[in-house]
Amino acid sequence: MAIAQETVEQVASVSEKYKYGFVSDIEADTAPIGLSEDIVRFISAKKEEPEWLLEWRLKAYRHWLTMEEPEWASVHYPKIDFQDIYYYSAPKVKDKLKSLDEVDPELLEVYKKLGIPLREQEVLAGVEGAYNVAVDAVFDSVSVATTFKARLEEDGVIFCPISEAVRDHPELVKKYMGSVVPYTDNYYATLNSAVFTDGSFCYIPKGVRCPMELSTYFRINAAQTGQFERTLIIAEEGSYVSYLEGCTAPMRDENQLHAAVVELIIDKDAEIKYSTVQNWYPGDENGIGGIFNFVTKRAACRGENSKVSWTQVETGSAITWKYPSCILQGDNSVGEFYSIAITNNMQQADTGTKMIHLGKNTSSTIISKGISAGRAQNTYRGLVRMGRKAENARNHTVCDSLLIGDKCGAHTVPYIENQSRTAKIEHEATTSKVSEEQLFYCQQRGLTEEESMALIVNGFCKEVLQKLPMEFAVEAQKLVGISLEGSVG
Amino acid sequence: MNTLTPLAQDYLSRFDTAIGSLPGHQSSLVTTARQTARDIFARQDFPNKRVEEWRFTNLASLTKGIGDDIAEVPSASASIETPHVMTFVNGRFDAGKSSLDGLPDGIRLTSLAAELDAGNDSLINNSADHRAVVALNTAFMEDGYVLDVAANITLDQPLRVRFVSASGSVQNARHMRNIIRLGDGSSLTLLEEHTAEDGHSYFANPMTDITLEDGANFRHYKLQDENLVAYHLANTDCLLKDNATYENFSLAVGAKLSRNELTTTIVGAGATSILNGAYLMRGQQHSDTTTVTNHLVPENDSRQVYKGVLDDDSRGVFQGKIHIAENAQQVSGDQLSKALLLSDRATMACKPELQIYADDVKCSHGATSGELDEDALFYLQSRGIDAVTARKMLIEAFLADAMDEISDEAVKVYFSGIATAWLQKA
Repeated sequence: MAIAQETVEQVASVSEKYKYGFVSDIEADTAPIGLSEDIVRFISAKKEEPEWLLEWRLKAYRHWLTMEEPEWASVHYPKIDFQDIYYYSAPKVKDKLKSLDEVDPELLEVYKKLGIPLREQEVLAGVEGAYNVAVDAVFDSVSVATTFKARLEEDGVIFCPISEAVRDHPELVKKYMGSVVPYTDNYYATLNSAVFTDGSFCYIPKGVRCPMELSTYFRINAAQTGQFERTLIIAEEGSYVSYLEGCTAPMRDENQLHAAVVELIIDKDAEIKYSTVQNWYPGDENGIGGIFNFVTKRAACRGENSKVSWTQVETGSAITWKYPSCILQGDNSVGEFYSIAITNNMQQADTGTKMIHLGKNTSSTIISKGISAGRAQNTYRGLVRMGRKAENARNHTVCDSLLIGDKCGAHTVPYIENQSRTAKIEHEATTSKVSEEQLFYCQQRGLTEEESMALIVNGFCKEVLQKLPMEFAVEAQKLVGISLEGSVG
Repeated sequence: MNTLTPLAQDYLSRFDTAIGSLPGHQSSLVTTARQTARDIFARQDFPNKRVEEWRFTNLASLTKGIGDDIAEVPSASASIETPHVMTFVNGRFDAGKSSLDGLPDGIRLTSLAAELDAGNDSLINNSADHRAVVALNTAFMEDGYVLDVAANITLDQPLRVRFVSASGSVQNARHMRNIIRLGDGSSLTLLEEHTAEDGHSYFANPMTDITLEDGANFRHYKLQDENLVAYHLANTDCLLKDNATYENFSLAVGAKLSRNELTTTIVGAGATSILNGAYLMRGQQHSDTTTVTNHLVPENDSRQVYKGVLDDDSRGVFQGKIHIAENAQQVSGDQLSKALLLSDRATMACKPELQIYADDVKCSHGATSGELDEDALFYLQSRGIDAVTARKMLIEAFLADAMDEISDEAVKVYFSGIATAWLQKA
């Protein structure tokens, strides 16, 4: 019965437009427009940061000035004017908040619309054993609320905005920040290092299995604002954490820049499972507006038997430029990448992964499903590199592309570099379209054309959807349907 | 502005003098083509590793200028008998070493230098090719073969063209330009060999331009067995019209550094492009196979199988791009690249690329890289076969997948013989 109800709801929501496109009128504290050393200092001062961090930001900023915007990805967009962006915008707060009740009701309204169970009491009042998720919500440039902190602290897990971590755990931040993605890494990561405003920080101590899934919701709200968040997750020896990330933005007819950096550090026997449902505003069907999503995500499997798993569902953004990577340093370490990238209308996605095998017996799996509809372009770009010492390393890659309509494109650009005789690398890729027979079969069973398409596409993505945590999987499945709306008929 | 590499500077400084004695210098069309190409090359220089298409192949050892390295002169390990042979020695047609008598009517096989000097300058199309290595070839092309086949001509025996580097060479570069056109419905096999009878280092830069008219069927086999201090940068472009078939097999065993770049462009329905090859490398050798297959119209096929065997410190590169244009529906494109690493120091880089703008297509690519199967080795040894023989058997079997694609029986036997001889030296 419940399942039938859910199906009805799902089918109903398939016909929704981009439902996160609302704009909230929240008073914001904003830095002057543009980028300069003064802005970097302004952000650092706002965050009450220590001297070393300001110095680090300035080093990054000065380095950024010497860099050129990368042009190798198969994405096309007008040149970004980095002086026409607000680098800091924070919902205005009157004094320190004592409880969530004092939060701007508009803000709570936003979270309600986003479907985030932000209020601790509500969640705590839930049935015993109910599914709990600790949430950190980042609104434009700052983290507005983090739930479940007390419960997590019992286990020694630190989960807080990164700005708070800088204040309360400077030794950890100093040790790990920039250790996986150095400030010189690439154009957008360097920019992020200079102007990052907030993000999440997680620290899982030795031997701890994080008692609940950790989640961050990113929301761009203010106009003309860039969002530059930085996430740092450290899993000490033998620990485990599952981390979820969701992103939305209002519908605006301008392009907004999102350049995030995510660093994961995984010690011996530890595991991080990192899941993303990226649903930034993709722009309208004519390609007006939408988010430019230029993200650097990298995990360092430093210890033996460490494991990292990236799962991503990329449905939003006008342009996605993102390659979650794994550096498999520790012997026997494991890297996984499961991805669904859906592009419709005028969207462009250039996404994939890098698997750098350095240790012995390291193994990696890449499953990438690209779906292209409308006039969209979807590119898988990935690297598998077996270092000289990567004895008996293994990689298996599957890239499948599905084309819907004859105006879209699907591209596959894998780089495979092998320096290890005993390594085994397998790569396969296919491109196909949804067959008339499949559609006809579904329609014959009473589904509309769009429902049939959503069903078939969900089947195509199933391998990856199954890797998502349950709550996310349901949302992702609906998203798959919504994203492809208007792509048939 | 970056300074040009020494070799590029050398070429550019020689150009004005050279152009007066190169074939076709009487023709303003050829001269203009050479000058345009010179300018294109001057703007780019030789490609370096920052050029995406060349990221895995570093030409630095060539571009700093060819040294005085001397290699052992390779001895022919297998032979093939064909009635018609055309021979080029040190980049120039050598009539004494050729036998072109008795070619059937409708088949013309001539030297490019002779054609250009006779005023047949329409052979050179003045399209400004952006590839630096091709531009260099156009600017300095000195000779090559011109094969023109009339409609509905079939020749069963393969034509054989040999490019030999012999001693007494004054110049250490050979920019060969070959032009092939097969008329409607004609069918022909051509075996092209690049070998050396001398150990000096040289730079071979052949460019082959092929046009296949409706229904033409061209089997094009290439052996690259340059000496082990030579550089070989080859480009082959093939245009396929309706129902044309192009079959290419390239066997590479020679050269210090080689790149075999094949670009096929399909503009006809029912056309088929088949590119296969094998490369066997050892020592410090570097082999690069780069293919680009352009499907520009609906209803045609392409397939590729490349196998590489890499020993010692050798490096293998495979880059294969399948491009399917918008509206090129009902196209199938398949590609497979497999490399076998026999040594801990050998490396392989692979970039199989799909670029697809049409939806009703079937495309796939596969790439693997790894060592010999331990289980298979063990199995053979447990049947009383010694380890060395077992390894050879497995490598031969590995290569057979590609070799079996050669549809001309004589060439298949010839190439297999060369591969077997290569394995014996291990």
